[in-house]
Amino acid sequence: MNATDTENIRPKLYPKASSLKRLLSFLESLQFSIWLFSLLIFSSLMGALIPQKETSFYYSERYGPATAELLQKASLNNVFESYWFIFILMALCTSTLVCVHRRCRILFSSLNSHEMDDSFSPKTVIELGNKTFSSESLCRILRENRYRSIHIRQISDTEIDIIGRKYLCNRYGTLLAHISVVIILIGALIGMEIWPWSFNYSLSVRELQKVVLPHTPYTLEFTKYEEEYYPGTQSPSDFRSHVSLWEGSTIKTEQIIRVNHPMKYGFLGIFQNARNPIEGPLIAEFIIKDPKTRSPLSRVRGIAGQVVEIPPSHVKAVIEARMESNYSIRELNKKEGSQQYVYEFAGVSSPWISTFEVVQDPGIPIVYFGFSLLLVGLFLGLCFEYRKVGIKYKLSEGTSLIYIGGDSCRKNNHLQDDIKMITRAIKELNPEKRMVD
Amino acid sequence: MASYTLLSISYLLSTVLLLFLAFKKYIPDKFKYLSYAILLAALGFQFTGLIMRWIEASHAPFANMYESLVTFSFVIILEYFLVENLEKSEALGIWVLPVSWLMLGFALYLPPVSYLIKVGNILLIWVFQSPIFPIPDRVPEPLSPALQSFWFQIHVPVFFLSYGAFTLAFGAAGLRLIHYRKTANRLDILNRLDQQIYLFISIGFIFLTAGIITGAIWAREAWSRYWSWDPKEVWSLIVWLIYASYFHLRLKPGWKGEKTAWFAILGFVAVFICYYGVNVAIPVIFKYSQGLHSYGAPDPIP
Repeated sequence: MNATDTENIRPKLYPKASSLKRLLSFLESLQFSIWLFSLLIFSSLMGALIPQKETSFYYSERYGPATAELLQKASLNNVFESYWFIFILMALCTSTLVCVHRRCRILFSSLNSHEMDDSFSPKTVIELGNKTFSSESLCRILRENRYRSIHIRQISDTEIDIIGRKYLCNRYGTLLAHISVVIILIGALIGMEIWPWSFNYSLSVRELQKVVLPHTPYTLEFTKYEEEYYPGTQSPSDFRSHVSLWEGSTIKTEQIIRVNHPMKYGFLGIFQNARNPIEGPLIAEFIIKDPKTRSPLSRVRGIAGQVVEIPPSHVKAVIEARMESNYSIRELNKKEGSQQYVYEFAGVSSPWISTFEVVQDPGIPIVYFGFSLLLVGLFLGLCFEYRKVGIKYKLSEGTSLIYIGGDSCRKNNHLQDDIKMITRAIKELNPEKRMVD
Repeated sequence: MASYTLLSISYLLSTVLLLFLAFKKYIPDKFKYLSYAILLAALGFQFTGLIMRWIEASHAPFANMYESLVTFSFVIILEYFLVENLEKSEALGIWVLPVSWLMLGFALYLPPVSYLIKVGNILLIWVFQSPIFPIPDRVPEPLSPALQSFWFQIHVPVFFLSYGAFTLAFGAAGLRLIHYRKTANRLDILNRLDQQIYLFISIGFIFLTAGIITGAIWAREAWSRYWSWDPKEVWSLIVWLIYASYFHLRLKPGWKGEKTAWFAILGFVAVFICYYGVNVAIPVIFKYSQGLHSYGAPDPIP
């Protein structure tokens, strides 16, 4: 039930194994996984210590032309997207898959087999004189130590075999943790930009500009930029970009993008990155008011000469700049009997450019699913230690003999402590029991 | 700054406690409770200091290097205290408390006290034209929009818990490799230490994984991608892989005990590079910027 043992006996089990079987046993071996780990650690170190994705000029300045060329040939300038790194990750994925398969086989075969084999390493023998035991009392002792008796065999009146086990969840946990690594890697593979469904680019948009989003049927309109500062400082406390997403002439969604609060639409995500003020025509803002009540209805913004739509009635209007900071708005093609609004000039602001990251990654739900499995798996696998205890009771020539052995996935002291507890319980078992039995 | 005074008191108490541990052999057993009392008092002062700092800065106290060092040293002592009550192994303190003590002292008193580090800095300035141990910024700063996230409150403490557990594993490994090196016949002690290392690394590994996962989810919200091979991310992956190798190597025959204890040490070195080195030392030594996780870095003095 433990990798070490299978490791040691496997070559003997298949002396003339087919090459496929030999390949599989190599892939699932502990040796191979350790090699993969070391390779991954080494290449990650290279990736962490050598600046990545810089220009070739940068590398020849930094390392000299000859080394720089070597670095670029070995793609050490872009380790994490290089073919050999992805190859290592795929090898890890394959190895884990084969290992998961083996673990499943071992898990389910061990769940059905109840043989007391040699792996029950620490063997204790207790001599108990003429005291006799029933299988019920032995099972009760196991139960008191939180072992579930999975196998009780009454060979004769004088011979009983019992096997109990504890924390089976550990086995499932380790299995889950390994499966989750494969799931995460598959999710990451789906999210790679080699597929048409995954992309990632940044886009700089000026305020009041409408741009087509490449690879999507949508256009993005950046309507307004706002920022706030901590009182009395230059450090921004918040910055927001108001945007709307259009498909043709229909508006799909209208949202405020902030750092940590991206816009999400299906698998598409739009994230706030940098923002900068730019030189350009000032943006005038007007408050539209109801002529009777004088209550504000909405706002319009635009640069001089721009045609805007007045929100409540969709009347077109043009913004005019007469003089410095003296702006007005004039309605175009006004229909008969349509509502007459009152426009109030609310000031001008200088325009901003926001840089948005546009990302589509359908692998994310899969990766997140893998993450949750990994956490559950690690919790079950590391917080519980699977243990199996076998008790053999034999009455021969008037002497009771009890053999206790056990096996655990980590061979820590916990099993020995358990065996000590069980041994003590058996020794202390009530003598009156004998008369009842 | 009331928090500073309280933290200084807790630092003073930790120093007394360390002296206590150093001369433990010569101090009668009944003083054990006194050392407990000092430890508890130090913890109390440090906790109050942290809360004061929280109120002063009006955000959780781990937004820059100073706050992070102070909180981390608190978490280490807290975890040590819990473990000491559970596992009854005071000896761990010999290895664990100095780590916490050094970090707190570094955060609080770098310029006047740590002459060694200062001399080191002068040497390093000469070699790298920049100090490797810049003075942490003690003035509270307002939280930048990138840090204003629910995940900030989760991601950072989870990492502290993980690194604290790895520090305990480092302490147990130190004991195993140095203090009990010659007591090879005391199999019970060695076994117990191995088991403790395993326990601490397990706890640390679960929290490390949780930390990386919360970081990935936060990165997706803030930087658009859950994994962007930023140096901090790469180093946390390296730490993860080192401890994952530890779990696998233990299954190999002959790899329990001393050999795997070295992994706890190696892992701790990687943890420290990931925690401190990536933000401060590596940009200086290798002269390139540290990527996206730049909040923790203090401004290097020119």
